Amino acid sequence: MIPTLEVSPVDSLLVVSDLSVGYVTKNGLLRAVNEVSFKVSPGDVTGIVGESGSGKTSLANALLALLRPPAISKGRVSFGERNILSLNDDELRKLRWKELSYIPQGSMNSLNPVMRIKDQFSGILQTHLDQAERDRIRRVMEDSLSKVGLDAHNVLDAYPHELSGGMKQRVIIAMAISLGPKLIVADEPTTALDVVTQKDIMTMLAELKKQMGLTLILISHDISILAEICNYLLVMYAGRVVERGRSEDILNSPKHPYTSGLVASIPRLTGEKRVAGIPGEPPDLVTLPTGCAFHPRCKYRMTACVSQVPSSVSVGDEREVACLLYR
Amino acid sequence: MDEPLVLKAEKVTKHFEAKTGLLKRTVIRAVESVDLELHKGEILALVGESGSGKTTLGRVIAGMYSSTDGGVSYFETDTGNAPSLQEKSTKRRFAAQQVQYVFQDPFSSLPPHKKIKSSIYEVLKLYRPKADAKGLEDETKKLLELVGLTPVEQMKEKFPHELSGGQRQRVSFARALAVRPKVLIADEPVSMLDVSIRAGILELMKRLRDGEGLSIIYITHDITTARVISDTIYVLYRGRVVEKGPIDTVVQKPLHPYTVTLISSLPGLTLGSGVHVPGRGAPAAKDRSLRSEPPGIDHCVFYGRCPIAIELCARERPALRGLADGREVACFLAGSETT
Repeated sequence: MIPTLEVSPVDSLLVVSDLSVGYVTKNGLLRAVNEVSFKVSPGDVTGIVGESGSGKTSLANALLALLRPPAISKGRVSFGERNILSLNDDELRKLRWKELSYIPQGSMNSLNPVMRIKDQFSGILQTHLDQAERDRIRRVMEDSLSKVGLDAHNVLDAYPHELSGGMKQRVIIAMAISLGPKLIVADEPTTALDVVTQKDIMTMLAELKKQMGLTLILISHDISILAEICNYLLVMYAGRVVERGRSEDILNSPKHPYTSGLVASIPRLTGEKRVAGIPGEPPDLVTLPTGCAFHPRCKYRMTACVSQVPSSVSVGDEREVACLLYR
Repeated sequence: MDEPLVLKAEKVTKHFEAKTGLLKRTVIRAVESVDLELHKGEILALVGESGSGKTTLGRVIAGMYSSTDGGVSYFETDTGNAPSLQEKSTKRRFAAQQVQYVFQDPFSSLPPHKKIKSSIYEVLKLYRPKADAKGLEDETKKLLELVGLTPVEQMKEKFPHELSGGQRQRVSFARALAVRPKVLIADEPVSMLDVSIRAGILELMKRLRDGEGLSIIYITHDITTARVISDTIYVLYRGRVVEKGPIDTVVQKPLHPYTVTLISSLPGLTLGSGVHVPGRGAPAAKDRSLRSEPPGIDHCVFYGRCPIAIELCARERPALRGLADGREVACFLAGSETT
């Protein structure tokens, strides 16, 4: 074991402050992310959970400066000393893969189908390694693949269609870790996989985190999967963070009615045969409901909820919730 | 089950031929000799990983594929073997009236250029040539109401792209029900939906069973949602049934090592207490290939991945055998330490 450096909690790796993302559509401005702020310390595994259309993926794209017009963003994403949102293309290219890796949603289908794995993989390494280090490329690829439990000799010469879904996801993860980034953002890393493969990938991510001291941000609609490895959770609804805190606190006593709904919708193997679910549908982000965006679906709705946007209040140690019930 | 049988599959086998080279062909054994019985008002879960053959079996039962061997009887009628072309088309239609299929992906299984009302109306028209337009329109509305797409007057005028995934899946159910089938095969109907939206679709399936007396085959890789709505479970591995029985019996105490693997892969939160899972947290076996083995090899299908395999498992294939608690399991070791 390599001893880890003592890091004081103020030394955050990533600080997001008042980040908003909007898309200009013909029907008006679509607000995908609304004034989101959070911090990630080195070694954290932060989960971002919410239904489709809650702004999770837009948030991830903003963190990596992947937004393109018609998207507009506001706020600050500090990664170390730098504000990611104000870097130019050249600076971003140096940052990506090397310091900050992204595993996009459905990424196993983002491999180029007509290129062998080794050709697409070495492309990344060629961009980032100096001339002098180029002879290491083969070794770096083999090392990374073996870290994700793949046999490099079989995989490197294969085309994507020769690999199973789980294997393709492992290849993407191998690429993401190959240059030893400080932070990896993974969007729905296990969604299209079956339960057994899903478990394997999550176990592997947890293992890699321990071995390599990775910091992870994981995005999913399934809180039960995030609960397995995340120590912090952010719950998003209609572009806002409605609840945040340590995962065990959130799962044991969800405060926001939306979070309670998410926790209750986990089907379980024991106990009553009922899945609760959340009635209704996520809102249209162009014409958001007034006040608290969750009020049309909320069973604790009060008159004030219709007119007042709740701000986040502290409800315990590292625990915040944006709901008028907790004023 | 006291209810009458609605369909019975006997020794259903489905092989596909795949080109693996210029002249080379390999046989993919998707389903191997599966027996299955479905009763009226029963929800039967077909559970297994990707590649276990659950979809292929579902499609053979729905008459979308002809079986390589064995057959499916719907009451008295058999659609198993390859009949002549003319016969085949009548049988295909007969099967469709008995069994309807709901697909996994609600984003691509509806005609995108048709309003919801016309995509249901057309199915009705096809199967009830004698009914008048007014009657069919009323029935369209009734179907939308039944699957919970309300307010009906607004919903029927929408196009698929205006609906969410959960709502589209409800349209798929309405289309399937328009044929008035006896059996519904729902192939991963919730796997593309948000966890919070799944509950509504599961409730819908239960309601269709309770209210309409439908029998449902629920194909899924998710044993937890299967438990919530199903009566019976069939666990498939490499095209074979490895364990089957009343779902509570099997889930509370899985006996086949593969069923154990499936359950122990679930996120801890969903397990709860009181489930006996031997070896939870044990490292998974390396052999992940779901490719079928060459013919002539007679060992247990799970042999390569099994953590508790004994020497006998390499020589002989265990047949399904019944246990006292009503389940059947294809493992030499299962039940030995419990009785």
